Amino acid sequence: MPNSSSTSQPATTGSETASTSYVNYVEMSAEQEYFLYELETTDSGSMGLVLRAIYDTGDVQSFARALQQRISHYDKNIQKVCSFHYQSFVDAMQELMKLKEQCQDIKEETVAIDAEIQQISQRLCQKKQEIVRYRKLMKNAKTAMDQIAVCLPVLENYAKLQEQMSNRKYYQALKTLEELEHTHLALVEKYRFTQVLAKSMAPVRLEIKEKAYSEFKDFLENIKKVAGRIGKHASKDTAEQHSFGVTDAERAKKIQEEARKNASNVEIEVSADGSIVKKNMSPKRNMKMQVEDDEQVSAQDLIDFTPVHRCCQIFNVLGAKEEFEQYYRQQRKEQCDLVIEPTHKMNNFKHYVEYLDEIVGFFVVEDQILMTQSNLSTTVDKDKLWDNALMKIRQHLDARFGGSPDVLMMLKMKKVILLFILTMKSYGYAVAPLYELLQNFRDQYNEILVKEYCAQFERDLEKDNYTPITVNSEEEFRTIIRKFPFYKRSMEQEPFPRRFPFSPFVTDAYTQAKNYLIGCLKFMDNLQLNTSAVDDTVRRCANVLLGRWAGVLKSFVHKRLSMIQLVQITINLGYLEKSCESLGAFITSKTSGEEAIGTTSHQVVLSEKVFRDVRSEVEQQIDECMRSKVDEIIDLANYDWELPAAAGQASEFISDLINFLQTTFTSFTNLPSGLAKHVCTQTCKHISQSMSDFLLSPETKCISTGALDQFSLDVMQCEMFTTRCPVAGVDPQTLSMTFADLRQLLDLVMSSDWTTFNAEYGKDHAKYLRVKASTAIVVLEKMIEFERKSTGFFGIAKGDRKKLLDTIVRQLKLLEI
Amino acid sequence: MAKTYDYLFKLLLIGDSGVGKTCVLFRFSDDSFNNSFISTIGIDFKIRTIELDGKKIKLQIWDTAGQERFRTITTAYYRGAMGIILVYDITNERSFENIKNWIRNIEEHAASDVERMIIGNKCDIEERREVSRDRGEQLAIEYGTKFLETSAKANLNIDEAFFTLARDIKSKMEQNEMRAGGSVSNTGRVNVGGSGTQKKSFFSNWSCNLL
Repeated sequence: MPNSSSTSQPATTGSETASTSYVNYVEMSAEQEYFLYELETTDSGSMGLVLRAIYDTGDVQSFARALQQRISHYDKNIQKVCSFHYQSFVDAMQELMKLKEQCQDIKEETVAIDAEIQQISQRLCQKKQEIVRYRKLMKNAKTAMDQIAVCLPVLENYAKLQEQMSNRKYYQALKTLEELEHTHLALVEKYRFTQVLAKSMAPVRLEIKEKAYSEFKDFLENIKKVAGRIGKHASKDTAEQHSFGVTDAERAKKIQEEARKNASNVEIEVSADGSIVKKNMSPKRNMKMQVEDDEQVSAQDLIDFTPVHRCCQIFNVLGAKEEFEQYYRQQRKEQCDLVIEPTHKMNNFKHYVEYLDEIVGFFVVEDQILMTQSNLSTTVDKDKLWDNALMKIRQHLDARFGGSPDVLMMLKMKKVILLFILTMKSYGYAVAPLYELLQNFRDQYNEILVKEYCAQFERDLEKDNYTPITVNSEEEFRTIIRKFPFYKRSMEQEPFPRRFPFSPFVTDAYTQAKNYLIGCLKFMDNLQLNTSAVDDTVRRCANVLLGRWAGVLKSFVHKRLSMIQLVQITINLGYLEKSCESLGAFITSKTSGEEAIGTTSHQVVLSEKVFRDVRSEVEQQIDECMRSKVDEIIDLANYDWELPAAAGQASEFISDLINFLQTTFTSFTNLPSGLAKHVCTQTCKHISQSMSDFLLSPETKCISTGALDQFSLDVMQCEMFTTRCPVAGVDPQTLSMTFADLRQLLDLVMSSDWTTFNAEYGKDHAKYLRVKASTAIVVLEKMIEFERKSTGFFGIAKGDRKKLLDTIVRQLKLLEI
Repeated sequence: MAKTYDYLFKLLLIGDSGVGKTCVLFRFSDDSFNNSFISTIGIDFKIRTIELDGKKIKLQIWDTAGQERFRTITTAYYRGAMGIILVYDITNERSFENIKNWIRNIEEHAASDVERMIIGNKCDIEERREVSRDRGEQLAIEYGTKFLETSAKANLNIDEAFFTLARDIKSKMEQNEMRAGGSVSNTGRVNVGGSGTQKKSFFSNWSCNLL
């Protein structure tokens, strides 16, 4: 230490000296001074640079001399300082010698203390070593405990995982697994047992996935089983909401009111209404009871949707969310296809109800899942599923009922389908195509009804007795009046038996028409059409039926019907036409009830004109029938055209013919007057034409005078009929004209009034105006032919007559030109 | 006009309303049957041509209304008839009783030599029979006529009835022709001056058989 202090002091002194020296030697060059300053002040690192600078100046010798001067200067200073401090140095040495002695004493004393301490602290050191060992032990124990504490959650969770897996709580298991993998295992990766655990946990994820799928499949199976009940319940809810039950109540109320209105009618009818009321009340009560029983049942109660939610969560955690979504949609689509496809045993009504209930249930569940798990499916997916299903449902129903002739089944199905529509609509599904289906069914139903009632109409035509209805008592009379709206005041005062103008066919047809309209109404029940629309539709249906009936009548009339049938039909048609107005009122009462009594609206008019065509057809057939009867008798004609002399009375067939006409026109008292006149006139015209055809027929080669006389007698008989015709209102003058042509021809030929004929031919007021020259020629030629044959047998005497006739023929031919 | 037949026979059907006269006629002429009862009004007729022993015979058969109100008007056809079939309904006692009245009408209005036959119709409805065959046969014997039970519905003995009557008429006509010296009348009718005794004969074997 003292040496160190000495060393320091010289350094300080050196600095002071240097500063002083600089001021004293001003004769040195500035450059050399600068160099010396730099050497004294710079650090060793820069020495090289200074020396380089010195050598670069080129004047090394000069610098060396300057340097030597500076060294000498410094030596001189050093000697002065040494001399000055010599005495102090000696004093210091003496003090050091004393100190040496004192230190020696202290050293000895310290050694003794140290030995004593060493001895005393021997046990203490021993204790210290024990403490160190114990402390290390504790540290190790703490470390072990800490590590074990970190490992425990792993073990606990692993055990938990195992337990959850065995308890089939897969979502919780998956959460545990995730926690294990990402939280706890990361901390203890270095241990071998954790590696074994990690290896054994790898398949657990797969197992969870498989189990989840399995559980979901069970869920699908479950909802499949329960879908029908869900659908059934949903349909019942819809029925309740849309007042299907209330409709029955309203119907019962209406029937009660109608019963009150008809209180004046016979007791039987009142009882019938009463029983109907009871019948309607009963279903309503049953429906209420059913609703109460099923009130607790809902989709949520019947199905546990937890598996779906759990599966969503599991697959979400597994990172397979999209896979599950796709799987779900695929499975539901397949399930939907199964539900949509009817089984082969769909052969009665109950099966179809169950079929539609299954479909409703399926889509209710789908809607429920969509609402609670919106990421699993989308509205678009649901609608796509429904659209596809809807198409197939429609196809199946069309295929099954498209050609169905069963009206009752169609009515039932209509109600079921309507309920199906309303139910699906309430869950937000599009139902327009099903309404179209119902409309098609309605058209088809109406078509079936029309066919049925046309067939019935034809059967009624076939089995009618074509005899006016006769009643023998007031009761019978009232029965007919109730069946058919016929009113004739005078008839109520007539004595029994009373005769209606129409045959039973009319009352039957009218009843059938009303039943048909009721049938049409049944299908439109609950279709949510307003009163006006229903009314219009039913009226159009009525017109369709009437038109079809007219068609049936037309074809029926072309069968070989008797005069009796044809006449009664034409009478019946008149009353059917009149009944159209009553049918219209019937429709109004059925569709509008009391509400529309005061309503004035444009209504489709029932078409009574449809019977106009068929009526004229019938009248034509009457003409045909009469004509064919006339022809049958005329076919019996057996003229001997070479008769020498007339018999003196009409031919037998003419007598029979006239008798027949007389009897027929007398007996058919129910033939309408206008029609009778028409038929009578047409018949006479036909007879006249037939007689002319006899006379002018090419098959008749010759005619004798006697034959002409007989023919004339026959025509006379016909003329007598026209003057004494039994048909009321016929003008004898007019009717006689039907034989005028024939009469003039006969008169001309038989009286040989050729001079007059020739002179007046072509004039307006000619006596034989109706005779054509060509016609006269035909007859004359036949007479000539007869004369020719007679001459051959009886000599020359008749030759003159032949010549005369030949002359006349030549003259007539000139007239023709 | 050329004749299309050898003889024309005019027949008449009479009897109570509803016994089946029109149905019998329809079965014979058209071979058809109508289940519904359509009451005849006034008069109707059917024509059918049959062949008998090589001769074409045209049968004009008049069908009369049986109702009371047409009784007078239909008597006009009795005189021209060459054969008359009286029809009753075996299920209707009254219609059988009334055959006597119809016989009386014939005696009053028809030609004295008219050929007659009685038939009991509807013999297929055995369970509702009211008139036994024996009684029918007895009545025919009493009036010296042929008798048959028929069913228009089941088409039993219908043709037999008409052919039998036609054969009888033809037989009588030919006898008269021989008696008249072989002259043939075009109208098919000959009025015989003297009244000959009518031969009574019938075939009891001709009866309705239901197998």
